[in-house]
Amino acid sequence: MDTCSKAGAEPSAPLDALPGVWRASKGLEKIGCENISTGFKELDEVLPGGGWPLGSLTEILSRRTGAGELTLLMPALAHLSDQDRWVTWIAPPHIPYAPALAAAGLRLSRMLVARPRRRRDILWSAEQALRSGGRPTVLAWIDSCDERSLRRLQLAAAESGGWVVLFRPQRQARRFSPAALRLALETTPQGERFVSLLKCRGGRPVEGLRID
Amino acid sequence: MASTQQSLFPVPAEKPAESPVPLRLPQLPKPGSRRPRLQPLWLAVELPSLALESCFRASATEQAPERARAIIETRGKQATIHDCDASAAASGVHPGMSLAAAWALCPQLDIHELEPRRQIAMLRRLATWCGQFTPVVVIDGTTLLLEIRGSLALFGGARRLEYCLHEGMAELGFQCRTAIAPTPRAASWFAHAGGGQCVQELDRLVAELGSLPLACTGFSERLLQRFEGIGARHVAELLRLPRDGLARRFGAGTLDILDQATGRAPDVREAVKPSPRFHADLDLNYEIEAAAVLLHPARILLREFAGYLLATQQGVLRWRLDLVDRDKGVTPVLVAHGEAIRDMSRLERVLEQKLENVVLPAPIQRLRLQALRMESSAGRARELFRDAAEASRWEELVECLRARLGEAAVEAMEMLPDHRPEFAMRTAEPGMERRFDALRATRPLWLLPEPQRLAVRRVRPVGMELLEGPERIESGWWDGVDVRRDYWHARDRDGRLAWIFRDQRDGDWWLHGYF
Repeated sequence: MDTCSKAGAEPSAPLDALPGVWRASKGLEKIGCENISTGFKELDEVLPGGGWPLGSLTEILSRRTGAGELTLLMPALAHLSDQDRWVTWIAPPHIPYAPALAAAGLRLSRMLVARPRRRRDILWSAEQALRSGGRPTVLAWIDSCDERSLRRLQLAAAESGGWVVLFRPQRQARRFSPAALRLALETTPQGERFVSLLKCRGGRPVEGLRID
Repeated sequence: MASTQQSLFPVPAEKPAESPVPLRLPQLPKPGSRRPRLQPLWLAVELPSLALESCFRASATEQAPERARAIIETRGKQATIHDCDASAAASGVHPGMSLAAAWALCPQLDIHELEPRRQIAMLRRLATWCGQFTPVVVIDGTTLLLEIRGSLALFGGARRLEYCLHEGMAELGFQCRTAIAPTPRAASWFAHAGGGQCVQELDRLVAELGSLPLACTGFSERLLQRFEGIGARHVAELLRLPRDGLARRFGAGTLDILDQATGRAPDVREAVKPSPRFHADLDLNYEIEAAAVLLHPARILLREFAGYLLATQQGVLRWRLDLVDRDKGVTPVLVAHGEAIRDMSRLERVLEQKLENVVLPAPIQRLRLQALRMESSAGRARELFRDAAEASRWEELVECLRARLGEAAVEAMEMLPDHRPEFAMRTAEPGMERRFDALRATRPLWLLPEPQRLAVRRVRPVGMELLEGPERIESGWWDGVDVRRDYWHARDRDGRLAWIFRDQRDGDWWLHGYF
């Protein structure tokens, strides 16, 4: 242990001088994309950049729908809606309830709901919405999805500066995904919510973070 | 384009730079003087292969023509070649040859009967299309005459306008020869002689006209022979003759024509009025079985449509593309837009989405485009108002999504002032803004389309832990959906926060939403 800390304290100039080398001991750092605060202090602390990474793909995995995954996004969505950015909902599992959304601060005049019947149309609609300009936010609900389509979505988000959030079932956590951020949400029967960062670009995975 | 046809005048390979049109500074008129009139400038567009191209228009999409094509004229039992394209001419076919001889030289010749009415209709449509360059378009035989003096500033000079016209015509599938002159007659003579001249001032006109051979003018064969008889082969020689002598020998009409050409006498032409309806059709060169492939020939029709809309300053709200198969069965493709548009790329985008969902019962031979509802639209000022540009972007997205997913699959929501939760919102068109005061009570983020009945044991719902409530909602006695419910916040076995209610009339518990 002593030798390890000593090794970390020494300035190793040749290694640091190499471009693209990131030392795990350096800690979290900004990746260089726009971030928006999640509205939850505990989550902001563990996310690199202090919030949701805009301009990329975020995945939120949960066992059942309606477990509070949308509540997690609400503060950020309200902020984005204030900035006049459109929010597109693609294949939501139930009806997004307008009075509740309006009370949470979303502008209904900047919302769009699309209900495709085929799965490939879900990804297509998400890409179209991202490419329509103005850095929009896209929320999509999808089950299984091949890696190539996810990469396309990630690329579209990066190019357009929009934010796409995919809601997927928990069992997809095992499959690889090129998303910049992967969150798993769990609720206990007592109603406590726990968030695990499965994958986080520029940061470390975190287990069991309690959200209030 | 210029390399395959030697009869075309050399069009520059790239767009000519904008030539500065001299701006006339407003001058105070001197007392007693009249305002000087701007001299007209005419652009003549001659279509040498109109017959061939109006029948084989779909060839515009092909890079290299697969088959040689020709138009035939049937008189009684004898069929002769009226016109043929370059690949037929390469095999030795020429106009005037009998059809049997042509087939002997070129066995795969694709032929079509000469249809003068179709030619005239096509010429009218082209004249309307040219209306996007100037409102004054005249049809003169198989030549179109455009008065372009007023459009020079907008298009950046005469040469540039000419280039744009050439490009547009080529996209529609037509070759043309153009020339510019201050009088319409001189311009059409120049175009007939091969095109390429650009004479903008009247004083230079006489010199340029002089070198023109008389065969390019529109005089009859008999007159031309008589001119040759007196040794006149060029226009200059005619112009040198004394005027009264010319009038006596060849008629006053000949003198009038020469005067109109040189600009001494006025030449008043009547402009073509665009028709209020738009109808266009296209025969495909070969049958197409896949709907997605139809987009390429459909683009030719869309270009014509976009030109018509621009010329008439209109936007289209609803249009249809009919796909006609060999049994004359029609598969219609109906397109509706949220706002009146005339942008070619938008029309194309929506059509592409619609064609993906079309199922063809038989191979398609013909396309027909018809505008159903148009309205005048003055066009949008670009980038002046950011909101307008953004709004149109979102309408484009809604249009694109609706074209592929269906009209009902894309919508937005709005709130309604009703206490009953399922009536407090409804679907609406995206972008509408209506605000209501936020409710004081919390509402769930998700609402189930239909409330789900919960199992009940001893008056309480199974698996639900009641947290907050009750919130009594009683409303709706006036329209028959009477609601008397007690709403509770509850937590289910998975830990989800749910919104449930107890119906006061029968005591059943229902699940209505999730937080």
